Amino acid sequence: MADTDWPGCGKSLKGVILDMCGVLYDSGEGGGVAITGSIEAVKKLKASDLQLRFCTNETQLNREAFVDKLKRLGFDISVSEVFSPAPAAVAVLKERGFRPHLLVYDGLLPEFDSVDKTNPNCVVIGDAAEKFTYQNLNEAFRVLIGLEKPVLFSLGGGRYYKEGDGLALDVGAYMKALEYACDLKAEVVGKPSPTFFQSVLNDMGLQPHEALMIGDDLVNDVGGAQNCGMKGLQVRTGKYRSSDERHSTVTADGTVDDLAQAVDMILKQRH
Amino acid sequence: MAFTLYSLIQTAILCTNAVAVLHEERFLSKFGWGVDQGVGGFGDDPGVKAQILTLIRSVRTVMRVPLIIPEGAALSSQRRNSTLHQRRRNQEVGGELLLKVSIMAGRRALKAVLIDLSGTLHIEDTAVPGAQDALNRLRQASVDVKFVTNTTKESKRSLVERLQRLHFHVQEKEIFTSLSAARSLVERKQLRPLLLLEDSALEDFTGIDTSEPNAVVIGLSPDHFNYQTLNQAFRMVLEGAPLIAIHKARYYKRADGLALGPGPFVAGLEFAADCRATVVGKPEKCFFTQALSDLGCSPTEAVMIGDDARDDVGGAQNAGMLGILVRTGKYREGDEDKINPPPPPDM
Repeated sequence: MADTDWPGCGKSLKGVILDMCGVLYDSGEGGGVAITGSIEAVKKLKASDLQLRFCTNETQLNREAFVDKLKRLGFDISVSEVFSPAPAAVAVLKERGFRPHLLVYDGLLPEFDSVDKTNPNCVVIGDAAEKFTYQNLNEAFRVLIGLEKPVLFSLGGGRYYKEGDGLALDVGAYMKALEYACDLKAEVVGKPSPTFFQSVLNDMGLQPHEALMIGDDLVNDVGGAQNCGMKGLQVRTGKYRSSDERHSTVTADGTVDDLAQAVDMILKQRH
Repeated sequence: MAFTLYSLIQTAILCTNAVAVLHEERFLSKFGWGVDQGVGGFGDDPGVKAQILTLIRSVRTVMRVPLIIPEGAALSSQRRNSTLHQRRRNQEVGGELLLKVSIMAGRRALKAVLIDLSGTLHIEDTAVPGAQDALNRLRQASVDVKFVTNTTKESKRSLVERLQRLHFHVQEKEIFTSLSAARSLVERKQLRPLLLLEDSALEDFTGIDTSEPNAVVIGLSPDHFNYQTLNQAFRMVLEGAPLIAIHKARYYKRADGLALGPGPFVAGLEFAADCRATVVGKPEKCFFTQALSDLGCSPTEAVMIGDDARDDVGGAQNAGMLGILVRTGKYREGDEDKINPPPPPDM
């Protein structure tokens, strides 16, 4: 049984999924800073026989700009390895014939270029940060309340993340606000939605038990992955808080100081 | 509502009746007050208890039959009252309201009447027909009157000014709002709040220390509902600062259409910080008990009158008061069904 528990499960792993913000880097002024040891850790994973994907709920930038930012920080990473909610949402919108009213950060707008946005019949919110003003939220609310069957898509459902030297409200808080106002339930695209994790697994061609998710968000990264049958590991960086280790509903399969430690422990199991 | 000779007689009859129906085995003997309990031997001085027992027994023996007549009369007069009430249903609200209060005052000790403002006394800048007169007549009865309302942006002073413009005689100290409730909670717990309130509401918090805040008070404040301020409030709440919500309304009607109320922002903070806000406005139980607290009257001695089935009537009933729904303001057919348990059929 030891092989199915952390860190014993490292032996049988075939793929690793990494959360980005709070695991690879901390966001903040000028694109943020890499977390100590994480650039090296990504290199080690790439050099191993493990498959590697990145899974983020980042919705302030489109994927190209986001990957460029990480390259500037020193990470070896390419767009095809990164899974983010916006492309997933675009696929859903097109498939189901939705024309969105967008409440997202300006940097994300290019992702939605190919989508018809006239006469909206749903609302899509992402982490709009400073654009989350009363006026903008009210506009989204009015679109929803004016629809016969209001539909709200949320790019991620996180509660908060670390920004510079403090914590900031994530899109989940604003999603809840609109849910409460319109008495509806939003559809989350991105973590912790099982469809989102499944699309990453499909891309790697792996079964859930062959993959490990490493993140700083206990509920969305760890809990979300566990719901899909994956193992979930939490790092004590980013938005991690000591109270996470006593959470009432989610218990991580393991908790490590940072990505560097996690990668070292996994690779040690495989030698 | 004057204290008439008739009501005096009615009370006397009720008391006598109460004594007359005390049941020997089921009630009196259980307390050691049965026929052969507490009565001393021959020649002993009868004690107070023995004397009371003798009195009860005499009343029961003598009064049972003659009481039938006045009781019959009282019952038929009550029936007359309720048909009168039926007939006046379609009359102006103020009159209806007063009639109901008077009927209830006869049934149980009524010491205080809480009245909602918007939708009950006035609708925007127009008084509800008959409401001023009803209020004047209520003032002549021996009950305390308080005006209670959920507001997150109007100070007591501005509410009084509006009511006076509409010829309601109201004093500031008779008004209890959700802002007053928040202030009293802040004072009781000696908190230093970060006030997410419109400037117009800050007046009601004059004198409250807001330096180095350790609590968040949140009302409807579009000016403060921006990324920076909400993040500040969130960080405080996540670190354990109490979150106090003036109320949790989802949205409200503005001249240009519907607009978000404070509720969604409260719900967002609750979700992000994984906590529950303390809501202080209607329909919270403590709102009603606080409104009554300086009147020295218990909830069972008070009624609440309002146009909101859930916030006014349901809330008051939940606090142990009687709740009366008026068919003015936001009232819509079928609102009665929104309260569980439903209000009594003739209310």
